Amino acid sequence: MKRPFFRPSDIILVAALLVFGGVFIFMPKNEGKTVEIMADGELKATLPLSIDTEYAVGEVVVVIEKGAARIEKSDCKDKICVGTGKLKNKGDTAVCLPNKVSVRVSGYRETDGVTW
Amino acid sequence: MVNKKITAKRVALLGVFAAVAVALSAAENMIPPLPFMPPGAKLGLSNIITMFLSMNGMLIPSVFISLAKGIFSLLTRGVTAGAMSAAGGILSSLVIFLLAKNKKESLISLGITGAVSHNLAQLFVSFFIVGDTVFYYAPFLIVFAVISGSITSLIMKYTSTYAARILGGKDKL
Repeated sequence: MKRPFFRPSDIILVAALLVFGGVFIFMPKNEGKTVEIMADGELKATLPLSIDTEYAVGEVVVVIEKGAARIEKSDCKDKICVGTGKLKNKGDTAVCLPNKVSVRVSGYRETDGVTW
Repeated sequence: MVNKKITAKRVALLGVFAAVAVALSAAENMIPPLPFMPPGAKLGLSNIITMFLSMNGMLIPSVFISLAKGIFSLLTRGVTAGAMSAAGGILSSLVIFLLAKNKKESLISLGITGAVSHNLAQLFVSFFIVGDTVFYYAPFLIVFAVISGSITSLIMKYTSTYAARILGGKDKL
């Protein structure tokens, strides 16, 4: 017997996944006030978004400009952290796995991370 | 699997499938990231091979190929990428293998659940490296898995008969 490509009950699976993801993606966002810079699982610095500045953790350079933070430079190969772009809403996060550095706008509700 | 002999044919076929999987993931690295894709997300074209094997009851070859892909990522993109690739491949192989025991389960549902489990396994690996901040990516990865899983299963629909022909009828790897 040949396996079907699609069966009607798949709509439930697709809808459930899209709704689940969509709810978190389109949740109302608030602009954050500070960013937390973590390296090796430790909090290295908490910087206000309102003041333009630059902060370096090893080879990763974080720039805060016009109320948004971003990873400006990194020596890693894939540059996923740089490609993430501007972070300004609560919970916005850029991660550089090779350097074990993450930058996150403070005010992220912890329960979202625990209960999903 | 247990009572099967390790024949030259079987080893050669496994090598062919591993080569195709590695070639697909190498080719995929050349595609520039599309703007709507979450950072770091990939289409996972090489998962077609592991999906084909595990959904046809060949779990161990599928895990083997996941490891081969992991070693390839380890050599080309570093330890983190290697661990993430292997973890994703092994978990999705297992999930597809178990779900496919139900012969009515559709290709598209296998593809999507495979992609979701693949992404979540990777998320857990990165959780151990950077901490809970990575869970912020979870919803993006889930939505993207629906898209990539659908594409994978669509390709599967048109290629699985040829792959089965390479294996030679009912012969399993």
